[in-house]
Formats: sequence, C-alpha cells, structure tokens
Amino acid sequence: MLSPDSKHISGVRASTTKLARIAVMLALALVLSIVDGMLPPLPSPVPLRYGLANVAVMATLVLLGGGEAFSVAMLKSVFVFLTRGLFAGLVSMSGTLCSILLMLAIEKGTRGRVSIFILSVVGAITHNFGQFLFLIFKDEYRASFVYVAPFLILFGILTGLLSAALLRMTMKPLEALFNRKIRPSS
Amino acid sequence: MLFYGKCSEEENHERSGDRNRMTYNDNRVSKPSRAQRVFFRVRDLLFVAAVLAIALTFFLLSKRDLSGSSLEAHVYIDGELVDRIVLETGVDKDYSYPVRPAVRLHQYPDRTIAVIVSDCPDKTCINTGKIGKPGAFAACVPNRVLVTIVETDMTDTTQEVDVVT
Repeated sequence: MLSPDSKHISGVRASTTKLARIAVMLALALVLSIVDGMLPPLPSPVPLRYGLANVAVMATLVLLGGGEAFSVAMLKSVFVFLTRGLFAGLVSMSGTLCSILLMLAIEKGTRGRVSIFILSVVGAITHNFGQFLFLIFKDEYRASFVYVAPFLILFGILTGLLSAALLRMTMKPLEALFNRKIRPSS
Repeated sequence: MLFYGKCSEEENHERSGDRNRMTYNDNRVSKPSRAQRVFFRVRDLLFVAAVLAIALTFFLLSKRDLSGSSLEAHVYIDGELVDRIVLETGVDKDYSYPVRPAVRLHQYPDRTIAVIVSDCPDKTCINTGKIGKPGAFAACVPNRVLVTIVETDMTDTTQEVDVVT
C-alpha cells in the first residue's frame, strides 16, 4: 500500500521510492537483529531475545504503511533462511508472521490510533508465542506450554516496552528522512 | 487514508495545493505527523494488567510441589529421544553423545542438569543454565539438541535408560 504522499508523484517514481524505503528499513531491521544477537542474553529460563528488529518493522508500519511493514518483516525472515538455513528460517518466519499479522490487525482495527506501547507489546508477545508454538508443533521440544507461557508474556512486556521506547526516540528523525526523500524542491 | 486517524479538511486543503512548493518545515506545522503518535495511554495499563493476569494463571498452574515426585531429563537429538537421565540428589556427572560430540551435559547434585559445552554460535543453551523443573528445557537449535525435564511417577522409576544412538 502506498502512503498518501506517494499518490502525488508519478507511478515509476512512486514505486522506486517505495522500493528504496523498504530496502532502507530492511537494512535497518537486519542490522538491529545482528546487534540483538550480540547483546547479553535476557535473564530468563526460556531462551528469548530483545526483538530490536521489531523497532524497524514497527517504524515501517507507523510511518510508511501496512504493506511495506509486511514486506520488511517477511524479507527479514527470508534473510535468516538464506544465512542460517531452513529450520532457523522457519522458526523466524513463524514468529514474524504471527507478530506482523496481529500488529497489522490492531493498527487497521483502530485506524492507526493504538498507542505505540500496545503495538510493541502485542508484537513482542505474539512473536514469542509464534516461535514457541511452532517449536512445540514441530516436536522439537516437549516443554510444557504452561511452564513457558508466563515467561513469554512477562518478557514480551519488558522487551515490548524497550522497543516502544526506542521507536519513540527514532520516529521523528526517520519521518524527516522520508518526507525529504520523496519531495525534492525542484 | 487508513493510517490517518483523522482525515481532516486541513489535510484535504493541503492536498489540493501545490505540494512541490512546500518545504519540510511547512509540512510539519500543517500536517498531522505520523511521528506524533501517542506513546502510552493510561488505559493501556488495563491491557497490561489483563495480560499479566493470564501470565500469573499459567505460572500458578505450573507451580506445584515437586519433593514427592521424581524427575527425568530427556535428551533429544534431531528430534529423537536419545537418553533419559534420572535426576537424583547427589549425582554429579558429565554426559556426551557420539552423534553430537560438540555438546556436553552436566548433571548437578541438586537435581538439575545443564548444557555446559556447545559449539553453536549463540550459546543460548549454555546461557539457559541449570534446569530442574518439569517443563523446563535447554535447547540448542543449531545443533538440534534439546534437554527437557519430565516429571515421572514414583512407581515408575525403574532406571530404564534406552540409548537409541
């Protein structure tokens, strides 16, 4: 979906702008997920990550639009699939798919009025659940869902708060960048 | 349109005007910016409270007295059950498996077990630390090794260890 601004520029330029924006946000998401991997692990008995890449996905969702956000999220999983193999790719994609679909539903359901905090927390929790449910269905582990669920929720809220705060800090500069890019004063 | 909370006359007016002549600063004053999004509302706390209540329910469900039950650590490699280690107090022992020599487990005297050596890049399995509660697990996804704790009945502790390697 094109953002409203893009309707005012010609078709070719609109799609080039869209492509460039998605590429920028995808690069941001990938760098953030590498940084995420370098951080010390969360003090949780369940292996979880900070989900910093979600900041880039949410920024795309809020600033650019649903379709762009979906592309960034799915391409990030495709990248995991290319670099770390089929299994890691599927694990990543299951979490991403749950997370982006629910965030899109909330964003559209509230016509973009939902607070960033809720968006981020829901994204983090559904990402956690998506991955763990996939692993449980895949029979990769027989850990009981009841044992795992509280940790998924608790750490989902904490990491969701973290990424919401990061998004709030980075949103204005990012929007300035996008506004400038599509409207050169010619 | 969908993503603008309010699509006001202000915006329509702006659309009909000559966009190319506008500078970024004009734009920020007149247009409802997407970056002005609400960060947190007080009623969001209700949502957090509800979700935490669900978490607490699950937590209470998983918390039971374990002193009377016996625990086993099940070791899965490539999705196959490879070993069942009975967790008893006072046992201090290393385990390794020929199919995955890079991964080593250690059983501690306090009825816990941990992955202590692994060649995977992320070391999530080692960082998980000692596990000893039913349902807890340490997983090494790159090596496809999983250790999970299972609660067994007291009558069932016949020390049967079937190594399927």
